[in-house]
Amino acid sequence: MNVEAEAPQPAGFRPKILTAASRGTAVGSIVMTAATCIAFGVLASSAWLARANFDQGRRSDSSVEDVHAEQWLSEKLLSSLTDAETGQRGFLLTGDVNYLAPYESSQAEQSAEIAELRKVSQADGETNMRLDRIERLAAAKMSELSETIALAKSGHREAALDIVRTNHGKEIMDAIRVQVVALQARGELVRAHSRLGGRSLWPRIGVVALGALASLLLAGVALGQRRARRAVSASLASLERFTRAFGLSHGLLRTGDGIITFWAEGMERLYGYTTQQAVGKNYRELLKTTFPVPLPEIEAALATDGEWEGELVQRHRDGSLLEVASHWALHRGASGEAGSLIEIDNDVSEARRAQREQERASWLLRTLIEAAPGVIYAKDREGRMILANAGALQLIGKPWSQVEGRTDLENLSDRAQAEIVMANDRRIMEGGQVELLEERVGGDTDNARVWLSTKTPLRGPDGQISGLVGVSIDITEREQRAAELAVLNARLNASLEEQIRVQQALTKSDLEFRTSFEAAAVGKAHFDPASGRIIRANAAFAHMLGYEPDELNGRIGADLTWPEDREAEQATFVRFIASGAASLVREKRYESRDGTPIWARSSSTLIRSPASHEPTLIISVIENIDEAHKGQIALKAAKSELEATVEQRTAALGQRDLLLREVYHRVKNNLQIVDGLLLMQARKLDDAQAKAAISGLRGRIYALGLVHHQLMGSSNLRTFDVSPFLHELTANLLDANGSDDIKISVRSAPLDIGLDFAIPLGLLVTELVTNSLKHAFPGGMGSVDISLDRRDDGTIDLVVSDDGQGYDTGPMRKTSGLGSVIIKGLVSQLEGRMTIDGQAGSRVEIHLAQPGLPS
Amino acid sequence: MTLHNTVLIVDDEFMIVEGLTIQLEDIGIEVCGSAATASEAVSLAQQYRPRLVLMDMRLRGAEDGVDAALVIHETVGSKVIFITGSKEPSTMARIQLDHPEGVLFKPVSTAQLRSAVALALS
Repeated sequence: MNVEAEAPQPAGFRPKILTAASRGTAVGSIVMTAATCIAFGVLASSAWLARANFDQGRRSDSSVEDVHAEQWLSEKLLSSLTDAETGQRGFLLTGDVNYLAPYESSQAEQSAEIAELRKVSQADGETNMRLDRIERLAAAKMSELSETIALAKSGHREAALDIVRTNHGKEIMDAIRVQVVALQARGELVRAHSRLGGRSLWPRIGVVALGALASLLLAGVALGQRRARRAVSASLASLERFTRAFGLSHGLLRTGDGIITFWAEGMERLYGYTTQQAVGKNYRELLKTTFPVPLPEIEAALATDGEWEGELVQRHRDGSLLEVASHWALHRGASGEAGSLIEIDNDVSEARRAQREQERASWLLRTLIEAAPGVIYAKDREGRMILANAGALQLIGKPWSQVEGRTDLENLSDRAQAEIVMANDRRIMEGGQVELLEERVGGDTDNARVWLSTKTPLRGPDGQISGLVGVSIDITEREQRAAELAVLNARLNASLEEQIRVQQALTKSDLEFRTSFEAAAVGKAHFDPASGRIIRANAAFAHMLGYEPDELNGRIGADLTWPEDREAEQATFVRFIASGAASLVREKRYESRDGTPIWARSSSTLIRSPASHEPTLIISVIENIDEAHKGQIALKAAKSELEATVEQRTAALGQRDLLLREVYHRVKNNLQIVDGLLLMQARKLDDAQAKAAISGLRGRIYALGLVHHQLMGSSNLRTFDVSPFLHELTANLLDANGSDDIKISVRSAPLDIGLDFAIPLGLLVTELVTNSLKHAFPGGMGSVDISLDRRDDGTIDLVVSDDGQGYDTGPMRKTSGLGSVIIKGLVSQLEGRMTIDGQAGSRVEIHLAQPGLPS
Repeated sequence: MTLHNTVLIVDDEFMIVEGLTIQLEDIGIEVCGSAATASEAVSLAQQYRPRLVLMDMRLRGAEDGVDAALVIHETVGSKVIFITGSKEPSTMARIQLDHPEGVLFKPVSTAQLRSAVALALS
């Protein structure tokens, strides 16, 4: 009989747990017995609970009664089998056939009992399957019993007892018990689910769950018993785990629409809700479940596989979130429809947290390694690279993909270097000691980079060395610096020796300085500020003054200054030292040996003691500028001579101007005297014509005076602008002769004229205007226009016109003889031509030659 | 003390004094006297107290017309019209020292003289 094939198939739990259990280690029969006891204990409590519930509930519905009929019948079957076995044992032990009565009655009732059980049980596939098994197992038990009884009856009692001792019969009985419990649990479960509808059924569900659990346990035990003892023990161990997982740990049952029907004790510990709080609630609402994948996917998996595994986030009663590894198993009804669902949750929050922490730590470590300066790497026992940071990859010069799993022989370009490194690695892995060593890797063979490597053997969990970890720092620079330092040190020593050598004689720089001082083309001298003596003087300075340098050393510097300038030079120098200025530049005269003055530009710098600030040295640079200075002096002399001449000439000119003014003044004064004479003469005359003639003369004299007056007021005393002259002249003529109703207008281009042009022009205008004023306006009303224009060729157009009565006949008919003569004469004198138009008023146009300017 | 409606003429040239006198008398202005030096001019001015003095710049002696004019203006209060042949800045500056009534330049036309005197005496 193949019990394994008949092993119960608890939905959802089977594959892992049982498979794992089959691989367990051997456990003694005591443990197995204990497990069986636990299983029976659970079963018994289940039965008690069921009965208590039955007694308490007194439910009237038929399904409840069916359950109890099923239980009663199944237990009756079990007890009759037990009775049969007891009878068999009694007969085998005593040989008394009376003991066989229970066996015989059991044999007679068995078929009927099973048939009755079939009637009250659920008509689903699983129940039928179990009933079939029970029937077969019962038949097998009866067969065993009848076989042994037959043997004993035929006198082979020992053979019969041997069969009993194989324990085969007991195993069959155990299997029957498992099937009976399973059957009962099954019936209870199915009916309970079908009746769920708001009533608190938890005690009954609890019974069902515990029953199912017990039956599963017993099934597991039965399976184990059928195997070798080791296998049984393994099963037991897994069952223990199973017990923890479901019964005491974190399981729930729920209906297809999510209503919790059973809430294990472990769930209360896990989520904080008591059974009362949980049962009847929707699990998603209670636990605020967050699914890793959309719920329809889970439901699809359940529909096809009957189970689903995954991690959920659910909420504890206190609001905290739990990550749980959840295992769901769907229980199908008789016709395969989805029924109740078993959910087992294991809190993996800590594990996940730990995992995340580990990942983070790992990440941190990796980052740290990556970011760490220097080269970090790990190799396995064979020297293959298993870890390399950026520095290591940079050293190797290849990406990780080309480095991973390869040895240094492949990774490093220099084979000799690689062999040495690998030899080092092997030594360290064999020796198991951390080593600090120098290695040469990278660069070229002759100029390899130097690394200070710390290499630590890497031990696996078993303590065996599985590789090594190395950290290398590039110390090439340090090495080079050390070498450079050595060179510098050597140089320093050499330099010190050199210094000592030089100090013993004269310092080289001093020598160079002296050479530069002596050989300079410019004069140089050092003076002692206290004594004023020359400390040293170079050849250029000495020769400038006609000496040799040795002759100047020790002499007082001031004695070389030109005697007349010594006092001023001394004062200048005292001021310079007192001022605190760094240097003094001046041009000064020195006295040469032959007593001639030498001009030089001397720049003196005062050196003070850094400590006391007292003057310690005067350094002078003396540039010979004598030639330049002499040239300058000559230039100055020439210039001043020139200036004197200019001054003289200016003075002479000024004197001439003065004389001119005086002449003009006297001319005017004399004209005033002439005017007085004419006035005196006029007083003595009675003849009107004579008086008029004198008046005319006075006008002409006035014109002459006005010319001199204009000249006197001009800046150059030689020329003046003709325009104001004409205005003043004509205004005076009008005042003297005209009435208020006669207007005179003057329009003149700006023109500078001299005495030679002005005198005849003034007289000419006087004659012409006087003529108009006398003759043109018998009514005493009209206007006279005078215009003077200058043509491009320099010639002058003078026009005197009036709007008076004009001339009847030829020109000048009405003018006095004198006036006419004067006009003609002056036009001629000025090389001019005159046209006269007397038709409408009078118009005299005179075209004059270009006036010459006074030289 | 009141001034007389007369004119004192100061010039060291007789012909000029005569010419000016004739021109003034022709228009009915009385000439109280004439002087050729500054001191003479001052004493005559103080003696006749003319309302107007026609003063030449250049006079005989060390003092010039301005010196005489300043004293006359200060002591008598007569107005002074300078008559000068010079147009030099220094001369002009001296003339401007004490509020001259006017300046006439030689040769002076009758019209200029008449209008200047008429303005001073009005």
